[in-house]
Amino acid sequence: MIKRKLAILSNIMVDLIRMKLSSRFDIYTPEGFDTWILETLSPESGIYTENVDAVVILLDGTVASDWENLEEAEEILNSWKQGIRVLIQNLTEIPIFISTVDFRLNRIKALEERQYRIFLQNDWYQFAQNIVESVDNVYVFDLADVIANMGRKHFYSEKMWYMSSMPYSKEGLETICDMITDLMSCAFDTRKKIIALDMDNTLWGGVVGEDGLEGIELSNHKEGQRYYDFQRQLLEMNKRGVLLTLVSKNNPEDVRKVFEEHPSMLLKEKQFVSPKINWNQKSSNLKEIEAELNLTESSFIFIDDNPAEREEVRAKCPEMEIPEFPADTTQLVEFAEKLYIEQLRPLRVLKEDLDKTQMYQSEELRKKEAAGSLNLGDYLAKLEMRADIHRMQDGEIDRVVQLCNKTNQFNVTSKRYSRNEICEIVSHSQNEIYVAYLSDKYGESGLTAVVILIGKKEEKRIDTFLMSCRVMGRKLENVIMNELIRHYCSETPVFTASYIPTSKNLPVKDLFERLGFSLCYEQNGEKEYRVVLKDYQCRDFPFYQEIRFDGGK
Amino acid sequence: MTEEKFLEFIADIMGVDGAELSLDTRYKVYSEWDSLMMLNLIMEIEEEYQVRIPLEKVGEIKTLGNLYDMIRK
Repeated sequence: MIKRKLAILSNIMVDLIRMKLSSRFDIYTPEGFDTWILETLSPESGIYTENVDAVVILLDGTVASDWENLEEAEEILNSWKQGIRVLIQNLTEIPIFISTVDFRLNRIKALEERQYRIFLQNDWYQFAQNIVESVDNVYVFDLADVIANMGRKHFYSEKMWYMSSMPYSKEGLETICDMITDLMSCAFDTRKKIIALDMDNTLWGGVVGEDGLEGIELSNHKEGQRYYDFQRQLLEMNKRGVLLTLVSKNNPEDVRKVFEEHPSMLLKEKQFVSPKINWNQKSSNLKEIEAELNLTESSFIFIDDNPAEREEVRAKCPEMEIPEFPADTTQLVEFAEKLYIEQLRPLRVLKEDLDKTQMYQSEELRKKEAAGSLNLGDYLAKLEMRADIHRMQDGEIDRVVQLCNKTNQFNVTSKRYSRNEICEIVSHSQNEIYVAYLSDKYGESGLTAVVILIGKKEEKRIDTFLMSCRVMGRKLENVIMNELIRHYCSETPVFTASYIPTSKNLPVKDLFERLGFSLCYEQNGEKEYRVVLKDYQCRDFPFYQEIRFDGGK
Repeated sequence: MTEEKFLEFIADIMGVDGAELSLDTRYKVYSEWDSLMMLNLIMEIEEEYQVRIPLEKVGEIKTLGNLYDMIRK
C-alpha cells in the first residue's frame, strides 16, 4: 500500500494531527505557527516542490475571539482568501480541500455585537462555493458543520489550545483526522456503487407478509418515521448516483402493494435496478444482480437487519461490504450518513452519476431486446447505436479520473491515476488520451471508454484501455481500435500493449487477441502484444448507425 | 489500576514495547517522549482515566512515575 503525500496548511499547529495521521499518510506541514499564507507565496515551498498528492487547508476560528469588529475580521479573512487564491493558481492538478470555519467570537459580547458571525460564515461559504464552481480541483469540507454536530464543548479543549496552539479535544482531533482520511479516500480510493437492501425490518418495521400493509411500521411522524427517514437518506444517495437494489424474501404481490399503496413509502419501484423479491438464497440473488448489472461483488454494500442473512451472504460473497445493522433503529439516519461518507460519496457528483439508475434500467430494456433477437448482429443493429470518439477535453478530466479508478473488469492494465497524473500525462505533447461516448435508442451512456496512448509516434503504447462495464458486449472496443489504427497508420508503424491480470479483469484476458494483436510473450499471466498498423484489417461495423472520430485536439 | 496496566497503556500510545518503559522513564531523555508526545499523553490519559491534569502540574512531570501519581490521586 503506497502512502499518499498530503500537505496540511493551517492557522493552528497541526503537529498532533500529523502525528495521528502519520501511519496513514506521508504528511507535509510548513515550519512555524500560522505561516501557511507565506508558504503559498514561496515557490520553494514543499507544497510546490515535494510532489504532494493533495492539500488540506484547515482553518480554525478560535482566533476570532480576539477580533474587535467586522472590519478586523474581514481583514483577516481577506488574507486567507488571498492565500487560497495563490495556492489554487499554482496547484491546478491535485485536489485541494478548503475547510469552512467555525468562528468563535467572544461570548461576553452581546448578541448584537457578534451577529456578524453569521455574516462571516456566509461570506466564507460564498467564497468557497465560488471557487468550487470555477475551479475543477477544489473541494470544500464542512468543518463548521462537523463541529456544530458534535458541539463546541466536546470538540474544543482550552487546555490543548494553551499547551499546543491546537484547540481540539481528543474527540475533536480524532474527528478531524477521520474527516481528512475520508476526503483522501474520496479522492483516491475506489468507491462502492450499489446498495442491496432487505425490506422487512430494514425499509420498514415488521414483516409485510405477516403484519399486512397497515401493520408495518412506516410513517412520516413518530416512531415509524425512523424508517421513512432512512428511506429518505437512501433516496438522497440514489439522486447522487448510488444504485439501489432489493434482495427480499417476500411475495412480490405484498411488496408491490407497499410500493403502490403505502402513503409513506418514499422509495418507489423506479429507484431500484434488478430487484429480487423471491424466496431464493440472498447470496444467489446477489450473484444474479452482479451478473445482470455487470458489477463486481466488491462494489456492493448489503444491508439486512437479520444477522443470519448477513452471515449467509458473507460466507458466499466475501468481498461484499456487509455492515452491522444498527440495533437501535433510531440510529438509521446516522448509519446511512456514515456509509455514504466513508464508502460511496464521490469527490464531486458528475453528470454521468445523476441518471445512473435510468441508465441501468435502459440496460434492462436492452437485455429484453437481446432476448428477442436472432443473433448478436441483429440485436446490436436494433439498438441504433452511435459512437463518438475524440481527444479528452479539459471538462472530461474528472470523468476520466473516475473511470480510471473504478473500472475493474474491462481494464487491461488497471492503472489507477489521480487527476494530477492524468494532467501530467497529457502535458507531454506526444501522449494522447481518447474518450468514447456511446448512445442508442434507449439513451445516452455518456463517456464510457478511455484509451491512453503514450510514447513517440514511431511506437505508441496502449498504456490504458478501459471501458465502463455497462457498455460491454457492444463491440465498442473494436470500433475504438479500428478508428485509432485508421487515424495513426500513416505515421505510426506499431502499437504495443499489455494485459496485466487482476482478480477482476478476466473479461479482457484475450481482448488483444480478439482485436487482432500478436502476442509477443507471456509471463506470470502478464501478456505483451504488438500490432503492425498497416497490416491491421480495418473493418466496418454496419450495426453502428454512426461512428464519429476526431483525432484533433 | 496497576503499574503494569498503566505502562502498557502508555506504551500503546507511544507505539513502543511495554518492556522498554518503567516508572523511571524520563521525559525528553527517552527518545519517544518528546513535547509532542507529552501533549498526546495528557490528552489520552485525561480521557482514559477521567482526570484533569492542571496545566500547572504539567511542568512537574519529569518521569512516568510522576504521571502515574497524578492519576492515582
